Amino acid sequence: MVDPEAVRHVARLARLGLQADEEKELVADLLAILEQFAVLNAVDTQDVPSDSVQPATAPEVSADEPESFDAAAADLLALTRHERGGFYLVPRILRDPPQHPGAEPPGAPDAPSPEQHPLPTSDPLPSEDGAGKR
Amino acid sequence: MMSAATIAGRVRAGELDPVSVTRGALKRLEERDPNIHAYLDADADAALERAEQVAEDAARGDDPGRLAGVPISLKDNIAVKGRALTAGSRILQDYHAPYHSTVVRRLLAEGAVLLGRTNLDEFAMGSSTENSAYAATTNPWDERRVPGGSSGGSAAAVAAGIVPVALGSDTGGSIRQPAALCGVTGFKPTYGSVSRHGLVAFGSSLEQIGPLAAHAEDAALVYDVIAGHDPLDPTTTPAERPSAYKTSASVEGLRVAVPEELLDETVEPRVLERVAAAIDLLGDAGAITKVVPKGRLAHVRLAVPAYYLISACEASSNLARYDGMRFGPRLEQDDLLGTYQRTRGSLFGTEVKRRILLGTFALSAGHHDAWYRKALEVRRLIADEFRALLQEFDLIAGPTSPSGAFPLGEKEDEPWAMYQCDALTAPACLAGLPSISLPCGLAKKGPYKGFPVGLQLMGRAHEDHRVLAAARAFEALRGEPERCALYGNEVAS
Repeated sequence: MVDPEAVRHVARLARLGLQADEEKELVADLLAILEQFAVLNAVDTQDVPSDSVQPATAPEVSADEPESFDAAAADLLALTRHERGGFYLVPRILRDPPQHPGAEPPGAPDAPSPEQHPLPTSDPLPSEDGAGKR
Repeated sequence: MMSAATIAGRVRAGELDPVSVTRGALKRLEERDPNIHAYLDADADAALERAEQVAEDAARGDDPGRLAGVPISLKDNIAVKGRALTAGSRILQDYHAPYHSTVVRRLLAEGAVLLGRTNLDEFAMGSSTENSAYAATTNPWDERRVPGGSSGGSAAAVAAGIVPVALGSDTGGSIRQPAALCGVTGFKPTYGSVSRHGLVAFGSSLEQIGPLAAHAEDAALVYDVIAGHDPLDPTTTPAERPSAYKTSASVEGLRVAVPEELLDETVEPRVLERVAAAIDLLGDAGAITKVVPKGRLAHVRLAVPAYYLISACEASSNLARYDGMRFGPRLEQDDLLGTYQRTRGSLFGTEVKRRILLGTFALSAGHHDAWYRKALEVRRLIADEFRALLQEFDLIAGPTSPSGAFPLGEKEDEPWAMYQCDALTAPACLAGLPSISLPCGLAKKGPYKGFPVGLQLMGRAHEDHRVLAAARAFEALRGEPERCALYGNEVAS
């Protein structure tokens, strides 16, 4: 069943942001298209071999050996507007780890900024008595 | 302008300067493209520099190659190192390809001069080239009509006589249908015969790169150059291929099936009329043509839903990479998910979003077997029927498109009507078969009066040379095609 909520759910899965009027239009389109596609449901496919979803011949897979790529890392990074110091700059995914007694406060003179460390820091290791387990 | 084969032959013989050939193509582009918007850009300096290299090779006595000095345009979903590559989408604006596609490496190795990026429906999703984010391409026969799609820019460039050959890609008909609507030849090779490395992926189990040309001979020449095994595309087959260009052009003794399922009431009668005359011509030249009663291709009527479901599922996966992180614009929001959603929601066009939603829906939990798996099973039924028919016949003939060139905007808001444009071309993609569209005259009456009609020939997998040889034979039988009204005798000579 396709309804606005179903389309919203699928749009979330597909990481598509839709405007309200666009969503309304796409619901109508999907309903109409799936109604046409429903003709497939009447087809008897019982005799179709179960492996029919696989390619007829297995692709020839090359040896798993490293090869150099003719584009330099700088060429690839030049494709994004969001680059610094040889890294892609991406939106923050994880929040700062919880602070522990004795830790440097955020913004202390020697603390690196998040941008200087685009990768998340590791969690503290658990101690022998279990303190620090999460 | 001259054919590609003639240009290359004369450049290799030292009789023709490739720089003058390139200048001629650039001049035609400058004069004609403002009317038809076939190109996204031309990069004239790079083309002239390349032509000078070819001229120097020839002057040194080196063989500059089978495509020496031939100007060739590329659909803008084929990667050329250092050049813009947008796939007709805003989500790839400012993207520049970091490597050459395999077909480009092969064209350059044979002396071709790359001339411009041609327009397309966004990510090759469409049948009219109206879905490009940059401009709608129009038909050189009448600028109020569509050129077909999605390789409409390549078809229009050839039909307007700007270049003798252009490359397109065909996932469900995107080379053949615009070729038919623009009155040029368009060839979709057997799946696995041409590398897809460097082609912006849409429907990976279906699509192939192929030529659009003013002459079938040139389509064969270019196919010979671009076909072949490529370690960078594991779906390419390593089998040796006979030269399509050198295969004797004859239809004598060929058994040609004309299935009634391809001639049904959904095809415009005046299109059928021209196709029937073309099939008669094949018969007059010694082909054994036979109308095959309904039943042998019983499932071909399901090609459109099967094709659209499978290609949408593959597209939803292939296009997941466009999230604004590694390339293209990024529309920042407060959180990562919001950034993804705004970037993709704002920068993909409506048809692309429609297909991503359709594919994501059909692959989602609870729907996978009912839609995606069912479509794959129907694909198998269709492919088996074609294979069985091609055990008895050498070729299958019919129309390429149910209609001629339709007015701009006519189907823009009717996705299902637009999808029907692929009804006769999608089966060859589902079955992985080689297929060509050849101009076979103009419709004499009805809504497409005065517009080109395409004859489609399909052959057995990996018998591309046979399909192309039959096409060359048909072209010789037919004589020179009707001339494009706007650009007259410049289309081919």
